[in-house]
Amino acid sequence: MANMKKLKVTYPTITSWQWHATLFSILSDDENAKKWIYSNYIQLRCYNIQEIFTGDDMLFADIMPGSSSLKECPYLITSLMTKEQIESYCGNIIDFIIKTIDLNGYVYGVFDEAKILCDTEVDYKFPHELFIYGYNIDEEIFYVGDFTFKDHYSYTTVSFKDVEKGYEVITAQDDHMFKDDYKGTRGLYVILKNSDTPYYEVDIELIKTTLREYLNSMDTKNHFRMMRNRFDDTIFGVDVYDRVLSRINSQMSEEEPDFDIRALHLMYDHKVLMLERLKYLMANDYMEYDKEILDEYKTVVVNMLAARNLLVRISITGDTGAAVRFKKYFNIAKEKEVSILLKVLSLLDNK
Amino acid sequence: MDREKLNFELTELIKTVIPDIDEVDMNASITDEYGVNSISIIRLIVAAENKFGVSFSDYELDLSSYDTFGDLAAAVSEKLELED
Repeated sequence: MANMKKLKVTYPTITSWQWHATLFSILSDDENAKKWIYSNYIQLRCYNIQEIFTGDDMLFADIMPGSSSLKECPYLITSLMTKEQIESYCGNIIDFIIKTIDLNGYVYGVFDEAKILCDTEVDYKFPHELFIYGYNIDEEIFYVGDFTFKDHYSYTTVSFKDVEKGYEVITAQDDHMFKDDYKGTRGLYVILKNSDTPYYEVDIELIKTTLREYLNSMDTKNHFRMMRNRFDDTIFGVDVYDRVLSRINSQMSEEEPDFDIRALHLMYDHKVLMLERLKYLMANDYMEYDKEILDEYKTVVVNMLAARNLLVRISITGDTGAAVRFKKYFNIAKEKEVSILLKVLSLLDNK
Repeated sequence: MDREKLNFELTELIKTVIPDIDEVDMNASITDEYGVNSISIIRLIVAAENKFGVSFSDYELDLSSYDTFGDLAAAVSEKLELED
């Protein structure tokens, strides 16, 4: 056992949810993994849930394959370890994490981050996924990736003691990674990078099919059966724009609007990734190089970013009169994206 | 107002809006050195709009437009039409 080890991470291309930030931290710059990433991450979906921490209503949006990506991606080997296994194999969580990292495994799981954030005892929990990629025994710290500690996704350190405290108090009910699929248990994911051998080529047929499903807002529960599809009110594809806009419009009319920008950040990440996908497909001769398509899609990214940033500005200033501009940017992004992706589909069909 | 006074007033504003910052180096990376993120840059821009009576478009709110606080000072300076 070394005194210190850090597994490789690259700041993720997209950060909207912890599972995406984790997958992209491990695989962002991996040429083999890009073939899987660009063949997936096309369809959008959203539905209403209660926010885990506050219990407030929340419109949850995600890019498919969502949180299943860590288990579905062929360039990761993800093993589920129950708390009982962890204790049986290693006796305690700290040794388990160190031994896992020594074997080149990243650790990902739900910890009570209130125990990590607060110096004093607090009477609430903040169960959140923590991504652990290294340790330093001399300093008694783990190297982690998370949103919680700096208000944006960042790599930082957490003490062994805080990780231990944050792990011990989580119950099976708190562990939202495990509780829906593995009732009554809790635990961690051990994630190994598995990208030395290329065995997944860019799947143009899947890209075309999913682009059609996205553009036609098709209910793709059947396409994504490996994921949890528990919600009857799920909206798919470009209709997500309308659902998000409708939610924000209704919040604008509240006396003290409290916007949740996570859906907008997710949509912005979706556009960033789509632009990277188009560049990749053109650079690798899956479709003809077309500067106009790239330039036009950049305006989609720019307008989605302007919409997100304007919503942040409105939440600071309270100037809901700017809602008109917000709607304008949002609609420009939607209309342009639909028209460009139809052109992309035609180019892929004719290739 | 000249550029030197703008830098001084902007420095004070930065320390007010982002209290974690004690010393401001106008040439240091605002993300790596100061941990400024996509939300805190907008807080700072809104505060700068109010303090200096300038206006930033919605397309100028993005963090990637400002590598340093000096870049933000330059943007305010340009809007105020100050000479370097």
